[in-house]
Amino acid sequence: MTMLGYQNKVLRINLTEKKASTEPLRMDFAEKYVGSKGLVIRYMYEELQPGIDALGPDNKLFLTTGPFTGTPVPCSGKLSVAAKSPATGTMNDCSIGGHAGIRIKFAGYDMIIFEGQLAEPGYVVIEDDEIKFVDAGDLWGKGSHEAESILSEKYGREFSILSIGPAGENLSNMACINSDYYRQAGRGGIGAVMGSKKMKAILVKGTGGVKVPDIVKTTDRILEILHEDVLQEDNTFVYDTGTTAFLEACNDGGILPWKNFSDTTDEQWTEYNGDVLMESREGKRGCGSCGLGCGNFLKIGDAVCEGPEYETISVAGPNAGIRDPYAIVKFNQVADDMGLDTISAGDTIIWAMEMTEKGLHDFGIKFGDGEGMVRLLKEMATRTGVGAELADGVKIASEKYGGTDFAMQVKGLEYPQYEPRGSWGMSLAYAVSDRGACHMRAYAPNEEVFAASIPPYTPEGKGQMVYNLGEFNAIKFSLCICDFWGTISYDIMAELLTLVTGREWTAEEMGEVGRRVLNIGRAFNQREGFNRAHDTVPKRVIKDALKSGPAAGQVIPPEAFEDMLDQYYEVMGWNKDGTMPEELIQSIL
Amino acid sequence: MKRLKFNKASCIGCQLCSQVCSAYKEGEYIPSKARIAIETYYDKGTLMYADHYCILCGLCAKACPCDAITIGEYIQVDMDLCAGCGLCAEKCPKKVVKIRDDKAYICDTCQGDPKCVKTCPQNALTFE
Repeated sequence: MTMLGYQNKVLRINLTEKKASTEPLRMDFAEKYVGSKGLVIRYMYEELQPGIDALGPDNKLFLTTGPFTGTPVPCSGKLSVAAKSPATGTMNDCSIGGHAGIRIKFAGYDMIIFEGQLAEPGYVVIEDDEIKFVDAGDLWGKGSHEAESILSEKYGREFSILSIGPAGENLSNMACINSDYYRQAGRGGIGAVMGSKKMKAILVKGTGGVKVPDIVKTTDRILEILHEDVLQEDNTFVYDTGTTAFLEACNDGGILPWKNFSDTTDEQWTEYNGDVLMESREGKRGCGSCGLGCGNFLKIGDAVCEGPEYETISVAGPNAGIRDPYAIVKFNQVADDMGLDTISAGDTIIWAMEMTEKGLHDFGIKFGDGEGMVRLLKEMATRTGVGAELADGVKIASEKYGGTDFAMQVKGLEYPQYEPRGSWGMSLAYAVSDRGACHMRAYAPNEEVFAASIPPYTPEGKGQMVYNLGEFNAIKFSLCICDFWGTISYDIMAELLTLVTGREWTAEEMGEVGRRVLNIGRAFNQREGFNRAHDTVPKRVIKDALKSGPAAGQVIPPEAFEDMLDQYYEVMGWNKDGTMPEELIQSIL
Repeated sequence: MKRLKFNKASCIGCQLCSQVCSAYKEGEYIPSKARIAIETYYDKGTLMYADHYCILCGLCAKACPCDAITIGEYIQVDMDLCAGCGLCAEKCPKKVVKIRDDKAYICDTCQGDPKCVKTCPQNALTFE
């Protein structure tokens, strides 16, 4: 069976044997999981045996597109990059922007699977149906930016490049994969999986196309939706300010963390806000097929980045006791170049700052030390100096040195920058996220803080709320639609998917796919031994009340957290212990 | 005569223009065959723009030895006359003429109603 919108083809690359082959896409999986996020989790469930070493030859690195990839469906240029995570031991799907996803599709593939490991450092060049394995001895050890620059010079800009920095080479649990210099598949040590395969880079060029049943009707409708739904004020703020806008919203809502989540709110937030950062903006850039253009390319002195995004501003700013825009941008630039996830690396450093200030262990860095943060990034990426103790993230470091109560992580993945005591549902979202603490699974502040549609300081209704948010994102990201098309509805998703594939999809089915995606992620993790005991909240959040800001006095009582977990499991049809009934697992395969 | 104009300061490099161009001209989403190719990229820490679009300069018509190219309100290529010699592509200052299967493919501004302009989400492309 084949379906339009898809290329109906998987490229499988065995790195150990340096051989490539193609096979039909599992359309039975695509029927149930559509594409991108959902499709790849289903593939991982099928192909990754339980208990494998995430950094061993049995793990696989999956690059997965969706039916919209390569079409002008707005905001559809994202690519799913997935593998079992070395940081968490769970499945891990990341979403990366740029142009690599589109080029994979135009090269003729829905999905590329990398298996095995190269014997020596190398990179893989994919040009339509031609696959080359090239020695990367001279690139190994270089920063991701320099490596991409050298490869781009050599092969030309028709190639998209995915690369790792020293952090990926040195198998850091916080290593990311970069593309287009400033876009990342950031979380869960996905870059370490690529590094374990000794693959410095992946280059992709595609000259083919994507076919749909009725191209004129489809394109006409896409353009209507682009101009009528996507390009409206609720979405276009990302062009004006990008995610810097969240700084004000989070500060006003009492969820902007301060000094390793010890408190919230910074009265001097305007010293490093979007207005200040945008003064240094040199240009705008979006991903392929975008309509919005969130990327802010900016320079402050010798510090350059596309961003900084809210997460990075927070973790290298107030959460580190820093208010210097230069320090924030420099942190962003060096983290990208070293191939480190800014959230995880930042959280680990700010934990080290607190450890040092409390006299629990001297990591040689205190709050407010921007230069020290940059130094530690380089040390973490190369596993040298103090950084060697921090290179695998805050869970492992705190298990060795203490300070687990304020090690902000779930399942080994560090906390994003939304303080849950000001948005109780976020503690649940972090806890039940299938890859550890992630803000992209269910974004509770949208309801509890920004829209203020649901009271934030109560467990009531949070199971259903986190489920609803999670279901929506799960199908949206399975269509590889960017988060920033915030106004998209199930009706629009179904209409576009029907136009592109020629198979009738309903809005109701969109929700069903979303639910299935949440379940298959859980099923993968269950097979790895995960259950309720792993759906946790850092002690700080349930022990210490916030002192400042709109959420001052708030702490999440342990019984409230457990109540929220119970609610969520009930909504999902899971057992009290967080496991899934066997018949539920069978029903989604 | 109306021409395409490109304001790079507004461009986000989404390439929707070339996807949509290829949809209406080639019947599939295939930017490699589009009559427009605008992209942004980074080079040595600088944001760069590549803007391959027809400016109706007429050099292709002048270069054509077969008189296959005529320019009125927009460019027309007589495929029966076109020998696919590629001289038009060579002379094109914007490098937007594509030679394929011994024929020249040149932007005709969708006969005066360019879809790329209607598509551009940031109004970086205009027709004036």
